[in-house]
Amino acid sequence: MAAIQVNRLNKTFGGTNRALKDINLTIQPGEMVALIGASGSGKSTLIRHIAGLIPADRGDAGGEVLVHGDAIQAQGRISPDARKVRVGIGVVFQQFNLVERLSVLTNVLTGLLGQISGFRAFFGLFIKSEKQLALKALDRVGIAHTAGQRASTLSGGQQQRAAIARALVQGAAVILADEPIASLDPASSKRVMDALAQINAEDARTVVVSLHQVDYALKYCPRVVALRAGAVVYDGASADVTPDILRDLYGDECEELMGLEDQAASGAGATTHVTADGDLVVAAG
Amino acid sequence: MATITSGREKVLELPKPELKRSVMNVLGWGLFALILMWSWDGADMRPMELIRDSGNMVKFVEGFFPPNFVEWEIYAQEMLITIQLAVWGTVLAVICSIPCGILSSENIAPWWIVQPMRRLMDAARAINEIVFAMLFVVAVGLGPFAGVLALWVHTTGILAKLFSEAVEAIDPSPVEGIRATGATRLEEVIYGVIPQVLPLWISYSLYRFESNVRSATVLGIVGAGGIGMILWEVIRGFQYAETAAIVIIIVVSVSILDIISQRLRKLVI
Repeated sequence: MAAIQVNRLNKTFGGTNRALKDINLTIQPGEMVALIGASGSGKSTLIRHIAGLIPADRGDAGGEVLVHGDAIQAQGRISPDARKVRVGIGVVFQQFNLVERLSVLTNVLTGLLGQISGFRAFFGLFIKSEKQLALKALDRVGIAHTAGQRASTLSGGQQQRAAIARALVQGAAVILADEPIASLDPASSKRVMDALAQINAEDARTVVVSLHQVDYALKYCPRVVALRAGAVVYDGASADVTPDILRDLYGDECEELMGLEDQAASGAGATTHVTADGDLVVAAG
Repeated sequence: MATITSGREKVLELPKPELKRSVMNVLGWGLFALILMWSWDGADMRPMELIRDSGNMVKFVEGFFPPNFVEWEIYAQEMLITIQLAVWGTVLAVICSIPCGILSSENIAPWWIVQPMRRLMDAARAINEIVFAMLFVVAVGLGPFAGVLALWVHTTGILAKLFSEAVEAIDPSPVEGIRATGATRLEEVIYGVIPQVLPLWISYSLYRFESNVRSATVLGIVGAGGIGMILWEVIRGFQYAETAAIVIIIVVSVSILDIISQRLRKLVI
């Protein structure tokens, strides 16, 4: 059974703005997939649909999204069981979406909210083993020492790793990361991507990550799905991504991308090397 | 850079006043003057009497001095009761305002709950606590309990509105983060909303406590307990020296509470 199955998904904002056009996508368990594309191409919108946070168009155009075979939404309606399906999906957001006034540990513990009784959740009664679990998750992403601090005191990179720890505690088999490194510096970006790659490699959790930075996508993710104007225009191995595909995605007048193109143009060998490097990083992580 | 070479300074033209704006100005002030004149008779304004009868006024004021503190223990006791009934009225209102405030927030509850809840809170707010106190005195009898109920209902109307305004101004992204874990709506509110609004809520509640102590000092006038009861008695008995003593006790206690509450509010924000 596929980890994520998206069938004929369409989304129109404000009646005219077609954000997603007939998306079909199958992601197998244990894959690490990058979603790339220019700003406004629909990466975030697709991720939020998979997480069941926004409904697609009403009726047949809405298609359906299945996660581990369970519908999280179909024909533009969020499934009544969406809450249960969401327990199996960890979402990591660009702006971390932590509750800043709560401690880092409590933020990570909120990952358990879908699983504990309403009574315990209401009074914040987390048992010792759950707190241990949260601490271990924080340790895994390298920030166990921040557990007692308020989330607002953490740096961007640390907050994002706390958000990943929350997804880990949740025990989600699928992790959706929506531009997790878009607001981070390069060193923090690398740590966050390493953490995601490590989780993918060691726990065989499915990871879908949308990225602005094509180099990170090619380095960390064996498979790339590229979106342009809401449609999938490339879906295949990152090793096979050519400069032409990138030019098609981002437009060739974009100056910043010239460096990228050179990098990609330096030959398919470089790309395969990068993939191998990605594996190395995973193994080392 | 402009340099003056000809010796003749360039005359800059001031912007012409806009005709429309000056007309609006004149109309606005004219309207204001009309409203003042229209209200004059209804308000029975007789400023000349203040001057003509100034001798009487001086005599009247003299009656307050020196304040008579002979029965200060009774006054202090009643002031304490006033504060105690304000404490209970405020605490009960805070407890009720949490659900009522959340259910009047457009970003949390559906419109068919928000609208009726808001109208209910509007009504609780629109009716003065003195009016509620008169009604509750009939219902539960004379005494501070009627005052507690009056403050409770009126303050719930006010705090629910303030609480919901705080909730409507939150950052939605942490709530979405909680939702994505598979949490229920209630858990989203507890973990995503309340931590964000708590400092404001505490501040509003303390502020309402200050106001409620002030309001509670007059509730006794309609028999709803507290220092207002004896204040009303001494005023009606023309015992102005005693009135002065009671007023001083009220001013001192309310000021002390205001200062404490202000300090606390600064702490939480």
